[in-house]
Formats: sequence, C-alpha cells, structure tokens
Amino acid sequence: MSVLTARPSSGDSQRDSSRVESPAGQQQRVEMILAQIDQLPTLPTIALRVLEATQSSTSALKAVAELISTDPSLTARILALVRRAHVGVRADYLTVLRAVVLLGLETVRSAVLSIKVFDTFSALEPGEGAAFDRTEFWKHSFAVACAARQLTSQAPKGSAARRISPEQAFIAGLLHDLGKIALDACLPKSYARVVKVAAARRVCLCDLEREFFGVDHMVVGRRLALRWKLPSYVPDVCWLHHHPIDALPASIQFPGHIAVVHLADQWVRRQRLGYSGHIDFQPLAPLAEKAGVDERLLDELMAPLIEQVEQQCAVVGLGEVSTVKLYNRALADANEELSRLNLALTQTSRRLHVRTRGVDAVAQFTGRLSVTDDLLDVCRAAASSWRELLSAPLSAVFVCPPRWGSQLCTMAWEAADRAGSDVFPLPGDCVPRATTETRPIEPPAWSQLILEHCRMRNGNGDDQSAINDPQSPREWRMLPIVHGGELLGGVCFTVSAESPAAEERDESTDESLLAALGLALAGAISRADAGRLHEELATAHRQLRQAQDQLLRTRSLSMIAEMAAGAAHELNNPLAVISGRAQMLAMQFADPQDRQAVEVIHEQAVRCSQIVTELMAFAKPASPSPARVALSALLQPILRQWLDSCPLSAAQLTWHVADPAVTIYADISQVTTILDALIANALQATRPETARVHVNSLSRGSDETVVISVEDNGVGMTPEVAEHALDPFFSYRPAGRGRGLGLSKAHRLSEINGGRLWLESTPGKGTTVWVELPARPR
Amino acid sequence: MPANRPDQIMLVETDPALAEVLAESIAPRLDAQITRAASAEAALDTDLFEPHDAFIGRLDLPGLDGLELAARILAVRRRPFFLIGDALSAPQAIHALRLGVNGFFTKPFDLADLLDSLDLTLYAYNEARRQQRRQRQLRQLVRRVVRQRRDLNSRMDLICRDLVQAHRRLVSRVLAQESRPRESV
Repeated sequence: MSVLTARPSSGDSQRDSSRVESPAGQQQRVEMILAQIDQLPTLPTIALRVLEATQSSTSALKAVAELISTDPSLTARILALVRRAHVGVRADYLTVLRAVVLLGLETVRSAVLSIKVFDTFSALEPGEGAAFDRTEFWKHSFAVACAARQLTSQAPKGSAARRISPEQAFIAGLLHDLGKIALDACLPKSYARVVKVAAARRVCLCDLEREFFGVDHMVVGRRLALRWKLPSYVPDVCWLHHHPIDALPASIQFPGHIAVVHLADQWVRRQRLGYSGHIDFQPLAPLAEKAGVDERLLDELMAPLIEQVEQQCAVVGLGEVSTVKLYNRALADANEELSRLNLALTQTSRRLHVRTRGVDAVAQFTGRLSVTDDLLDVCRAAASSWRELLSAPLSAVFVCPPRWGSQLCTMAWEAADRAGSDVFPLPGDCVPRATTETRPIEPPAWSQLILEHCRMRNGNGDDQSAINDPQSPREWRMLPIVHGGELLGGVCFTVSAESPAAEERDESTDESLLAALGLALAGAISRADAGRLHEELATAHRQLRQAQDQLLRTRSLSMIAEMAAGAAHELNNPLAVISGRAQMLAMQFADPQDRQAVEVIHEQAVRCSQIVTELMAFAKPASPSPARVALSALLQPILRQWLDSCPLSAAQLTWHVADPAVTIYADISQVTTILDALIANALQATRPETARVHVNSLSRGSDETVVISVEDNGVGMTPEVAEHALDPFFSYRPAGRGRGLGLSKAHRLSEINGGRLWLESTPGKGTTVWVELPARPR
Repeated sequence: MPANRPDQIMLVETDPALAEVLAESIAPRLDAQITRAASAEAALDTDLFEPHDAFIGRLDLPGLDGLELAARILAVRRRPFFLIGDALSAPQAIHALRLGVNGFFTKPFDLADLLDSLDLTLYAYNEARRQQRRQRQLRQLVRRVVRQRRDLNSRMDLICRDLVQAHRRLVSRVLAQESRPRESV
C-alpha cells in the first residue's frame, strides 16, 4: 500500500489501462483510491484550533484573535475581509481582535476554514492542461455556501431552515463538493478525463466517477471530511447532498443541512455560477418546501449573492472577480448551452426530415407494387422510387439473380422524361459486380450498357445529350441490392455535382429503401421461380402421365403376350391331333370328295397352328444378336425382293439413302422383318395401280440414331385408328386380309433392338411410319 | 436272331391323344411295334432291358427334355431318333445335329412326310445292320476255311512222312532180299 500511495501517478495510469475488472479487483481499486485520499495533507492545525476555539459561545474572542495572529497570511486576509465588509473602519485602528469582534465568531470560523481549505488544495494545484477548472469550482462552492447562508438567515421564523446556523450552512455549502477537488488532487489525469468525457457525453459527473474510479466524489468527500475532523454535519452533507431528502435514513443527524445545501446547489446550478459538473436540474419548489424555505425567497437571492461570492473570492485570493463579470459569465454559459441545444435540435430535425423522405420513398415504392407484379414491374417501380428519392437525373435498377446464372439481366431505368425496361443477356465480362460501398465507379461497360439501352429505346441520339452532356459531369454510383445474404442486383444512378439531394442523403435512408427493394425483388424472383417451377411441374406431370400410359400399355401388352404364348403352346397339341386324325382318315378314304373334306380339316389346323406360332414369336421374340451393318447394303436386297414379288414398278416403290456410309446396329434378321412388315403394311393400304411407296433414311441426333421412314399414299387412318395401329390383332382392314400383327410386331422388334417406332397418318392422304434404330453400340 | 422281326419303335410323348394318333399311323405303315413312354426317364429304363430300333421323342418333356434323351440314347448306340415339338430355336437345332438326331417335326405333323422319313431312315438303318451282319458271317466263314486248310496241310505232311518211311523200309527190305538168293545158289 505504501508503495502505491508513494507513487500515485503510477497507480493512476494503472487504473486507466484496466477499466473492466472483477468485483474484487474493483473493491481493491476503490480502497487504493481511498488510501490515496487519506494521504492528502491534513488541514493546517491553526484551522482546527480556530474551529475548536469558536465552537463554544463562551470562547474568548481574545484567544481566537491570538490564534489568528500567529498566522500572518491568515491575519492579513481576515483584516482584508473586515476592510471589505465594513468600509468605514480606519485602517490604522484595525487590530485582529477588533476584526474578530466586528466579524463575529461564526464568520471568522467560516472565513478561516475556507481560507485554509483553499490554501491546502492550492498547494496541490496540478500543472497546465487540467480540465477541471478550480477557479470555476471554487466559484460554485462559494455560490452554494453563500446561497445556503442566505437561505438559512432569511428563512421564516420557526421553519426548519431557520434552526440551522447560517455559518454552518455556509461551511456545509462550501465543502459539499470537497470530494471533487480531492479526486482532482489525487488523480489529476484521470479526473481530467472524467470531466472531459462528462462534458462530451453530457452526463452526470457522479456516474462517470463511479464508472472510472468505482467511487464518486460524495464518498471521497465524506472520507476526507471525517479524516480532517471537520464539524460532524460536513461529512453528512458531503456524502448525501445529492440524496433525495425523503429517502434519507432516519439516523442522519442533520437532514436540515443537507436539504438546504441541496436546494442551494440546485439553485446555483440554474444560475450557472461556477462549474458544478452536473447538467440535471430538479424542480426547485419541492426542494424548497422540504428545506422549509419560501420559494419566493430564491428570486431575491441573486443580487446579494453575487456580491457575497465576489467578496469570498477576494478573501481567498481567487483573483479579481467583479459582479459584472460573474453576471456576464453566467449569461454566456447559459447562451452557450442554449446554442448547443439549438444546434443539436437542428441536426435532429434535418436527420428526421431526410428519414421521412426515405420512409415516404419506401411507402411510395410499396404503394406502387401489387401482388401480381413480375420482376420487370418491380424493377420499374424501384427505378422510379430511387430517382425520386435522390432527385437523380437517371437511375436504373438491374437484377441478375445468381441462381439464374447471373447472365440474364432484368433492368428498368428511368430518366427525367422517359423510362424503359429490358431483359437482355449480359456479355460475360460485363456482368456487373455490385460493390458494397457507394464509391464512384468509372463510366464503365456497365453504364455504357445502360446508355446503350436508353439509346436503343429512344431511337435517336438527340435525347441522349441530356444524359451524356459533357458540360454537366456526373458521377455514376452503384449500390448493391442484397436480400438474405444474396446479391440480387444493384441500383445504378447518376449524381450531378450540383444536385442538392446529394447532401441531404442519409445512409440509413438508402439502406431502408434498398432493403425494401431487396425484399420486393426477392419476392418477385421467388414468384418467377415459383411460376417456372409450376410450369416444370406441369410438364413433368404430363410426361409422367404419358410414361404411365405407356407402361400400362406395355404391361397389358406383355400380359396379353404371355397369355397368348401359353395358350398357343397348349393349342398346338390338339391341333396336331386334329390334323393327324384327318390325315389318317384321308389315307383310309377311297372317295376323293371325302378325302378332300378331311384334307380341309388338316389345312385349317395347320393355319391355326401358324397363327399360334406367329403369336408366340410376337409374345416372346428371340433376343436380338445385333451387328453393325451398312444401311444401304441391308435395304437394297429387301426392296429388290419386294420389287420382284409385288406388282409395283420401280417408279412406284422407291428408296433413298442419304448417306451410303450410314450404319445401323441391330439384329439384321429382325430389322429385315420390321421393314418387310412396314412395306407389306404400306402395300396393303394402297391400290396397286396408284400406289407410291417411298423408303427414306437419315441420321439423327449427331449420328447417334438412324431413322428409316416408309411413306405411302394409301387410304390413311383416322386418329382413332392410328392410336391403336400398333396394338396386336388390331386391323382396320376388312376381316380376313391380315392378322393385324405386322405393325405391332415391327414395333416390338424395334423396341427390343433399342429403337422405337411411330407413325403419322392422314385419312385419304397416306401414312408414314418411322423406325428409329441405334447407329452404333451404346 | 430272326431276320424279319418287326422294328421296335419307342414313342416318348406326354399327350396320350397325340401319342395314339402317331402310334396308330406308324405301326401299320412300318410294320413296327410301338412302345409308348410318357417321360424320358421311363423311356431310358425300358430301353435298358429291351433295346429299341428307333425313337420318336417330344422336345419339351417334363424332367429330362428331348435333347437330353437323344444324347443318352445315342451315346449307347446309334439309332434313328426323331424330335417332335412346337418350334426349334437355332441353338437347339445345332445341338440336335451334333447329337446325331435324324429329324425334327413341328406340330401339326404332315403324317405322310413323317412316315416317309421314318420309314426311309429305318430302312436305311436296317439295311446297314443287315449288311453288317452279312459281313460278319462272311468273315467267320473265311476264318473256318483257313483253319480247315491248315489242318489238311498238317495231315498231308504226316501222310507224306509215313510214305517216306514206308518207302525207306521197302527199299531196305528189297535190298535184303537180293542178298539172300546169292547164298542159295
């Protein structure tokens, strides 16, 4: 402890460096500060002895005078005080004893005390640059002391205040802020900071003291008063002079002193006499009532008070303070305070005005939107609102949501006399990268793009003079529109140098409108996404339905095929028996007619069996063994054979292979079966004399597949027929002309070879059947 | 072994009606004796004790199928074997050819064709067997002649030796007779 108190400045800096501490650490720090307070010089002995000597009414005036005479400077000041107070006294006639008699014991006591306290702290005057103005502090203290004395002496008879000795009130008032000067003496640097911060933040000094030191000047003052063994009401006043009177503990001995000093303190604050460090003002009436003082008394207080303060200052040697100066100073302080308040009010008003504009802009923007607006509408409203907010010559709002690939830009722009919007793809190097700050951007690819679009929309270049005018240089600025952490796009606008709106802008206004834009744009993007999803869903649903239908068809087809295969297998045995018996009968019959009859039985049985065999081949086709073969080499023999066997001429049955090198990868015998079936189908649908059948082939899908088409000019099919044309055993031809397995067999074979088959038909015009087959192994 | 014993034909068919039609048409035409079996296993058992001259087997049989049956039957001895069925896939046909199956008939049958093929194959088979038998008899005959000639030769040798010995004795006796009269003179 002794080390710390011996070097108070080191302890001071240590406290400054560590503001946040544990409760234990804070307690320790408070103790250190209080220990430093204890290390302050004690009150000079003479002051104490004068205090003791004047304590009793029976004190000999002579003893007091002798005591004062032992201190030359005190003697000089007391005599000066007498000269000042009693102008008529002759100087050569004045002795200390006479002065004591003239002043009275009470006055002498308070004078001695004030002089000595002042002297004690003057010895500890800090160097240059101290923020705590001691002169102003003493002025405040003297003002409070004088006011308290005045209040008690003029209080109505019988009131609580009247019971307090005016000189006690004076001492209490003088020393009520003893803690402040003690703190300043002990911790000059820290206290200077506290005073500065309190002035800057405009907060109560006590709160900051507690924040900085852990103790306030009340506690410190009480401690010092106790240590100096000052009259017992002084520690209480020091300690509790900010305390509400009603809340004082019952054990407090001098509530009257406290109430009077409190009232005087408040009143002096209002008059701005000296520096108190407090900016809060409490209503005086209740305080006056509690102190037992007539409130009207306060109004009469000012004039004598100034004189008394002046006198006291002279006594302690606080420089020449004239009444006028004090008045002026008080007025100047009040004016300064007023102008500061006025400035703050003006600033607040302007800020509010700008914010109102922002809120208006947001409200207007919101009003322009409707639920059904698409992205372009929102952009248009945003550009317009933004331009109105900034009074900018040109503003543009663009959106390129990252999840749309950032390449498709939706943009709306608005200038003074025209507006427009566009959706356009951005060149890769021109995708705008919105910055997070509103720094001016070069007239860049970006703005050129906007201008380009303006020009395109306006059709002529004349209107551009307003925008592109080199005489009025403009700054391009860009702000990002962010929503939910995702950069959606940006606002681009020009700001002319003389634009008045530029100065009135407020970042929070921009931010609120940007947030509203972001929200609206995000909503519009979500709606667009939802719309797109909806369409995709509808497409997917349609595809699913088709796939389901196809699956159902395939399943029913394969079920029928399975059934047919089983039935066919079982049918063959009875057919063999029937035909066998018929043949045996034929051998036995001698009559040719009988023999012919049983031979018919045999023939029909054989025909039945053929149908059954075909059915089985359709239901369970052999698994294909694919090979790669040139299409022309495959097609030519088939078509030659058909030319030889059917009644058509070479002009009627034609074929064309676009690329002779094109190949297919499939089971050759099955492809032959497919083509045979298709050509047979085409021939059956036409009349031999007018028939034209054309076989064409082309590569598709970057040579992945080959499509062969068989086109005829036959009777064609109605849509109902075409729908079922690929079903087995479906034939639109008259009964007996075919078993209706040709197309369905071709369909099935093309499917098991990895291809597909489809047809188009117009009644009366003809039918075209396409077969798609793989060109190479997959 | 009787020369004109009727041919024994095994018919393996699960459908009794069809089997009956086939049996009735084959038996009178080929003058053959038909044994019917409803499965490949039964046919193999029967053939073990009573070998058959020809087989007609259904392709899709329960258990062992027709091709398997053909493989086992023909492994014992080569005999006419015909398959009947709905259809024969290409791999099945190649397998059947390698086994030595003589023919395949799809239902419903052209009976005339089936009987002709069967008759022709059986005739050829029987002819081949008859030829084999005759060749074997001939070889036995030749062997017997050779053996008899060899006996004859050895007998001739013995006779010749006896003759030489008798001649020698005669000469010695003659010589002895010529010397005695000289003494009596």
